[in-house]
Amino acid sequence: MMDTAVLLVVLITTIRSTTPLLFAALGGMFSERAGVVNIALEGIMLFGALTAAIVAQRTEFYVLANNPDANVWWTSWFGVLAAMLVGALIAWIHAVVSIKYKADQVISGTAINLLAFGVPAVVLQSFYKNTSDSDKVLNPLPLWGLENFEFSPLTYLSFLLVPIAAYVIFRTPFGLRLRAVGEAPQAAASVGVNVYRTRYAAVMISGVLAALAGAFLSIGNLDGFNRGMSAGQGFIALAALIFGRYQPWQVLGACVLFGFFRALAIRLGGDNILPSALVDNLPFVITMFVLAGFIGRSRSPKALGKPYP
Amino acid sequence: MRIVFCAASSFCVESKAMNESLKPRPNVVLALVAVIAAISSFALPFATLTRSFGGQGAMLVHPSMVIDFTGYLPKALPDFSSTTILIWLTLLALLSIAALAWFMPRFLWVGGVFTVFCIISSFVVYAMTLDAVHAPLLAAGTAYRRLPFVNFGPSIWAFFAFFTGLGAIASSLRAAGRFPNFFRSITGVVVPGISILLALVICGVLILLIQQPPGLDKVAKSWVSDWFARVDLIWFSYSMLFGSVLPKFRPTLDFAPVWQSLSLATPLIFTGLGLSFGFRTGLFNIGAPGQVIVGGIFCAAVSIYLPGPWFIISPLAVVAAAVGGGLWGALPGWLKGRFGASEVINTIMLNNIASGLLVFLIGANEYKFFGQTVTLPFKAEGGEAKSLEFGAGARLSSITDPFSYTRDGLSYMGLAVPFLLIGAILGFATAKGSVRTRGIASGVGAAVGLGLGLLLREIPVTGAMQTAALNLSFVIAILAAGFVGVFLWRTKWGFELRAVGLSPKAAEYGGVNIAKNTIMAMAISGALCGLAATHFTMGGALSEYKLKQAIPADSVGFGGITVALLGQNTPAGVVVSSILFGVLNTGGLRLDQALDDISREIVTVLQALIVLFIATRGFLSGDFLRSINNSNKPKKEKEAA
Repeated sequence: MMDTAVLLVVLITTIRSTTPLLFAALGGMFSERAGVVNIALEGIMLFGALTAAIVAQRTEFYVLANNPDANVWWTSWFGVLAAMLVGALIAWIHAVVSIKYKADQVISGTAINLLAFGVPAVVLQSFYKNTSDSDKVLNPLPLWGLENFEFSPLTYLSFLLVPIAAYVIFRTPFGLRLRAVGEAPQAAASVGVNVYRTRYAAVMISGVLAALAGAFLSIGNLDGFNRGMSAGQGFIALAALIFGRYQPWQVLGACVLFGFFRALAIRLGGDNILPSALVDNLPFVITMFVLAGFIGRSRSPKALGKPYP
Repeated sequence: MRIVFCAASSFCVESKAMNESLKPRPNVVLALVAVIAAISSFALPFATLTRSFGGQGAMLVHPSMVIDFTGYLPKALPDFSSTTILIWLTLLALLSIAALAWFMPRFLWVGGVFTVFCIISSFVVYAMTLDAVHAPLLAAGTAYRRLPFVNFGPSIWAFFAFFTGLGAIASSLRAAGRFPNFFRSITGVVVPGISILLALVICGVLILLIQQPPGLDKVAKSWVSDWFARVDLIWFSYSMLFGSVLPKFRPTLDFAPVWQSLSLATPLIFTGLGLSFGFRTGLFNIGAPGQVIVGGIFCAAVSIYLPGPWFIISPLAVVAAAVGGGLWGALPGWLKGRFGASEVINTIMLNNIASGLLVFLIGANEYKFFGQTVTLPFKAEGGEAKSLEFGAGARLSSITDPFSYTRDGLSYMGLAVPFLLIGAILGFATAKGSVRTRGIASGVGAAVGLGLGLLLREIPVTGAMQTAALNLSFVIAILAAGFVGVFLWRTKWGFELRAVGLSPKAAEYGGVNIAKNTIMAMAISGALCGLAATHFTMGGALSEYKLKQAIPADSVGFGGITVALLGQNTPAGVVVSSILFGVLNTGGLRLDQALDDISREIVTVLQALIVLFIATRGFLSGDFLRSINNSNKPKKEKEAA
C-alpha cells in the first residue's frame, strides 16, 4: 500500500509534470482568448527547449574554455532568456501568417509544428553531429526549496503566473481588450481597440510562455535537449486549456489533474495496477469527452479561428 | 518576396497590354533577366568537372577558369576552347534576347531558340571533350570510378541560361496567343510554385549558414574562391536533393533511386489523399498519424491470425487497414457531426491515443491490471517493439516480382506488360467523354504502351531496387487517387461533400445532411490514411513484414498535409507532389551521407516552409491571384459546358 514516502514522490512528480503544461496552457489562453488558435504550442515548446539547451551549453562551454574556474551560474538563465526570445520570434511568425496574411490558423500552427519536427535535427546535426540529442548541459537551472522538496525556479514561476494571468486578463485594460478582440473584434475595433496589435501581443506572449515550458523541459527538469522531449505535452496543454474552459484557475486545476495522471503513469510504470501506456492517455480521453460535452461544456471564444476582418 | 511579386505581376500586365495594342510594350523583366544571365556567366560556374564524395567540386567558369576544390584534378587539362567559344555565343544569344525583349518582343522566340541551342551544344561539346580524355583510359582498362572527370555535369549557370531561353520562347508564345492550353490551365500552380521557390531560397540560406563549404583548404584563400565555394555548395545540395532520383547509367543501368523515390512517395500519396479529401469537405484531419497506426493494427490482426490463401488474405488485410483508419477517422467525424466538437483537437487527441495503444499492444507481452496478470500475444520476442510476423498470404509483392525473369544469372523486369497496363489506365483517365470514348482511349493507350514496352524490352533488376521496397501498395495508392477523383467529381455523394466544403449553410439549405456527410468524409479520409500502413507492414517497407513501433506515422501523417496543400487538393496534384517529396527524401538520404553538417531533415524543414508559404498564398496579393483566375475563366466555362 502507498505510504507517505510514495505519496510525497507522487506529489513532487505531479508538481514537476504540471509545470510545462501550465506554462503552455496559460500561453495558449492568451492567444486563444484573443481569437487566435495556437496549435503551434507544441512546436514553440520544442524550439524553446532546443534554444535553452544549446545556448546554455554553448555559453558555458566557451566561458569554461577561457577560464575553467569561472562561476557559470548565469549561463542557464541566459539560455532561458534566449528561449523566450526565440519563442516570441516563432510566435511572431505564426502571428504574421495568421493575422496579417489571414491564413488558416490551424494550418499555420501545423506548419510551425512541422518546422519544430525538422529544425532541431538540422541544428543538432550542425552543432553536435547527431540528430537527436544535444550535449549535456553541465550547469542546468538550480533547484530551490527544502531538502527532498525542491523545484526549479521555473516551477515556482509557472504557479505564480496563474494569479498574474488572472489579474492581467480580468483586471487590466489590456486584458479587457484581449477578451474583446477574441469575442467580437468588429465591436472592439469600433470603440478604438487596435485588433491587430492586440492579437500580435497576445500570440507573442503565448510564444514566450510556451518557450518557457520548453526551457523547463530541457534545462529545468533535465540537463539537455532530445528531440522527442515535448512528447505531445503542447497538445495536452491545449487540452487542459479547453478542459479548464479558458479560465486561469480552472486551467490550473486541469493542468494539475493531467500532471497527476503523468505522475501516476510514471509511478505505475513499476507497479501492478494499470499499464502506464494506458494511464498516459487519460488526459486525451477526458478532453474528448469534454469537447463532446459529456463532462461539462467548454465554450470557446466566439471569434476563435476567424481572421480579422 | 516583393520582387517576385513585381516580376510576376508585370509579366501579367505585359501580356494583357500586348493583346490590346498593336505596338507591344518592351518586356522589361525578361530583358533584365537576360542581361543578368549574360553578366553572371563570369560569376557562376558553367559546369562541374568532377566531384568528390564529400561534395568538393571542380568547376569550369567562363572564360575558361578552372577552380578545383577536390585536389584530384590532373595537371594537364583538356583544351576547352571550343566550349568557351560556344559559351561566348550563348552570351551573345542572351544579349540578343535582351535586345529583342526591349525593341521587338514579337521576335523573342528567335533569341530564345538561339540561346537554348547554344547552351545545349556548348554542354555537348564540353561532354565530348571530357569523353575524349576518358576513351583511351577506359580502353586501357581503368575502373570507371577512377576516371579523372567521373561525375561531370552541367552547373548553375548552364541552367540559368537554359531557363532564360525557355522563358523567352514561352513569353513569345504567350504574347502571340499561342501558349498551349495545357500550360494556361496550370496557372493553378503559381502559388505552390512560388512557395517552393521561397522555401528553397530560405533553405539555401540555412545551408550556407550551417555548412562550411567543403574543400576550401585545397585552394588559395580569396574572396573569389570563397564565392565559388558557396555557390557550388548550394548547387551541390540542391542537385543532390532533386537529382539523386536519376537512374544511374554507369557502370550498370540501375533504377534503384527511381524505385526508392516512388517507394517513399507511396505513404504520402495515401495520407495526402486523405487530407485533401478532408479539406474538400471543409474538415482538417490532423489525425492521419493515428489513422495510419490503427490501420496498421487492424491490418496486423487480419494478417497474423487469419489463415487462408494469399488471394483472399491480402485483399482482406488491405481492407482491414482501410477499415481501421476509417473507424479512427469516423469517431471524430461523429463527435463533430453529432456534438459539434472540433475535429482538429479530437484528431490530435486520437493521434496520441493511437500511439499509446500501439505501445500497449506491441510494447510488452504481460501487463498487470489491479494485480491480475494479463498476457497479450501480439508482441514478437526481443527488445524491439514489434508484432509477430505476418502470414505468408498477407504480403504485397514487390512491383518487379510479377514481371521479372532471370537470364544468365541476372534478373530482369520485362516492360511490355506493365507499360500496357499503364497505357490503358492513362488512356482511360485522361480521355474526356462517355465510357465508350474512354474505352477506346484506353485501348489506344494499351497499344501504345505495349509497343513502347516491346521496344524498350526490359530493365535490369538490381539488389538496390529490391531493397527499395517499392511494392504493390504503390499501385493501390494510384488506384486510390483514381477513386478519390471519381468519387468527388463524378458521384452524387462527392458533389454533396464538396458542397458542404464550399458552403455548409447553403448545402444544408439545399437538403444536404451535414452531420451524415461529416461522418462519411472523415471515415473515407481516415480509410485513405489507414491504407498507408499497408506499405509499411504488408509491403515490408520497414524491412520486415511486421507492425513496428518504428512505423513513421508522424512524418507521413504530417507530410500528407504538405502534399495535400501543394497538390491543391486534387488527386493528380497529390500524386505529383508526393512523388516530388519522394524524390527530395531520396536526395536527402544521399545529402546526409555527403555533407557532415547537413541532416536530411532539411527536407522536413522544406516541407514546413512550403506549408507556411502556401498558407500565406505565396505572399501574392489578392488582386494578382484574381487576375490569374480571370484569365483562366473561359476555359473553365468551356469545361462546364
